[in-house]
Amino acid sequence: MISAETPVVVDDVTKSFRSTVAVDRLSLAAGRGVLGLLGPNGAGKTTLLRMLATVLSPDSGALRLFGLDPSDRRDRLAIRRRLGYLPQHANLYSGFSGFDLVDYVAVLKEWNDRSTRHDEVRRVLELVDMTADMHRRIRSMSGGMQRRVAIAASLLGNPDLLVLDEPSAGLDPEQRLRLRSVLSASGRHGCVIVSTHLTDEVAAMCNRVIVLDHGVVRFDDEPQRLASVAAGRVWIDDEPTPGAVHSWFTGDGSVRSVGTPPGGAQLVDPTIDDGYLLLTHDAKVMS
Amino acid sequence: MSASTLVLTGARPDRVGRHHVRQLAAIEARRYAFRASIWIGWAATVLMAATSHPDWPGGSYENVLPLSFGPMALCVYIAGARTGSRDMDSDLPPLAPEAPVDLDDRLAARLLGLAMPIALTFVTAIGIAVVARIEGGFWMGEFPRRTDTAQYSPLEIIQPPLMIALAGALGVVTGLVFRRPLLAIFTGAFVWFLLFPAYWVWNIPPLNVTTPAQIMPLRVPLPDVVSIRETPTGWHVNYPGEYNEHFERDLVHLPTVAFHNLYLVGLIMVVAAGAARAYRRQVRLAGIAVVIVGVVAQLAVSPHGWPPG
Repeated sequence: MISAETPVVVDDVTKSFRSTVAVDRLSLAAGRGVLGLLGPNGAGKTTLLRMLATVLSPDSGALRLFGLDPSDRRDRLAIRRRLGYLPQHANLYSGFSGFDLVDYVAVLKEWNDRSTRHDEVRRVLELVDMTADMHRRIRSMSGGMQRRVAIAASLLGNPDLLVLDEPSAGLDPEQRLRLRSVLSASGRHGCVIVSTHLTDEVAAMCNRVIVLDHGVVRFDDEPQRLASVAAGRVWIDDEPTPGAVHSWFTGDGSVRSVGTPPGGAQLVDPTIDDGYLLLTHDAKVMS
Repeated sequence: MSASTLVLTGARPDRVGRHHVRQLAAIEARRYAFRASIWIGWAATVLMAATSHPDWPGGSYENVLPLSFGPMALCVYIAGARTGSRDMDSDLPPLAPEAPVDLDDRLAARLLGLAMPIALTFVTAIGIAVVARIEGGFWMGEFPRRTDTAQYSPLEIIQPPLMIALAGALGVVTGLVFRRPLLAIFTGAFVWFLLFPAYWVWNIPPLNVTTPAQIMPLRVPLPDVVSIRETPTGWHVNYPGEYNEHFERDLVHLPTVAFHNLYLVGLIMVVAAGAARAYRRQVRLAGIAVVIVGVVAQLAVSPHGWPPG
């Protein structure tokens, strides 16, 4: 149900870069919870997220965040005060320590009281397990640590709308689990929109998933339903099946295939991965 | 809800408060204070001021203030360029592009943060002037029109901080424009070479009113004088020599110094106008007007006169 305060309302939005249409007449609304964005490279995920983060304007269509218009200067400021954004590749100042960098971002986000601000900086660094390394310089950190610092900066102030572009890229499994827990908690009080290539991540923490391809929504429902897209179209065999959309050897030596099963094939329960592969393949065929 | 969250709730103004910019400026100033380049420049400046005493009348006077601040100017430029290019040194988006404090305010903070090297320069210039006073002063003119007690005036002490403000602002803005800090630094080093090591290129009338580092004393030719004893006793006068055909008067001309400072203020306004948000154009135009007034006024009051010679 869309209300005036719905965090995200995208209505018939298009964004192009020269002749490439990155987002094509896209409409969606998002409220409280964690929304996962899946899609192949170039599907328009990053462009959509940049528009939601108010750093890019749509060419046409209407975008409302908390009922406000990001193209209006005053509205944009009001939106930004409730927004956290993690770009796909964050520009972290290499000479800063992790603490100083997040503290700097906190000032950019209008945290003026020094002691309160420092408490908040420590809190978000603790959330991403960076307390022990927060005084290391960014340039001396691993890629995963830098990513966690960037995530911490986006979490400042518990934003009502959190927009994250591939947050788990470069994180080890333990940190990924930790991130899931943090984002799930954020989704309980606000709207979290996460772009990812990891379907297991979507299944684990999202209550809704959108599959984007060529700037168009191909699927929009609960993650479990994405698996059902592939119902009756996944089978196992001893050899790859010619004509299958995708076939791959599994750990037990059998071959798992998705597509149109041959007669007598041994059908198995589909996963979200299977549904996603079929959706994006079907979209490719259609286009 | 934590106390920290409370800070961010309730009625909020519809623009970013100036105190956020000041707070950011304080962070920038602290970061300038921890930059090695600033202290290397400062050390080189102090060393040059302490050791560079050429053996010609007025040589020490012109070398100590303002020329010894050349290394400081270069290093502050480099620090400024690195700071200015912080959000521009790659193809990545700026840090926290969604934050309410936008890039204009960040630029303003980076410029305001230059208060640290400017203050350091001001204190150093005062220190140099005090040491000169304690040691007795500088040599100007030749016997019998010689003094060994020439002292800097407050107007001359102001020139190095203004030069440093200009160098730092140029660095920050160049860092923004070039997007690659190394390119900005090389360009700046070239300009610096023209303005400081090659200052003599500019230090002739009428160009000496436009070079940032304007040296005193002015050397005013006295073409009608045939004997040094013809000149007033209060003047500091040099004999004709290898570089001067006529007798020359060494003159610290304060009106020229004052209008040169005004000229520097105009240049700073032009360079830093980018931080003035909605008033950017007005500040830039006002800066250009101040620059023109500064140059014209120097030419009008300078004993070199106009046309030069």
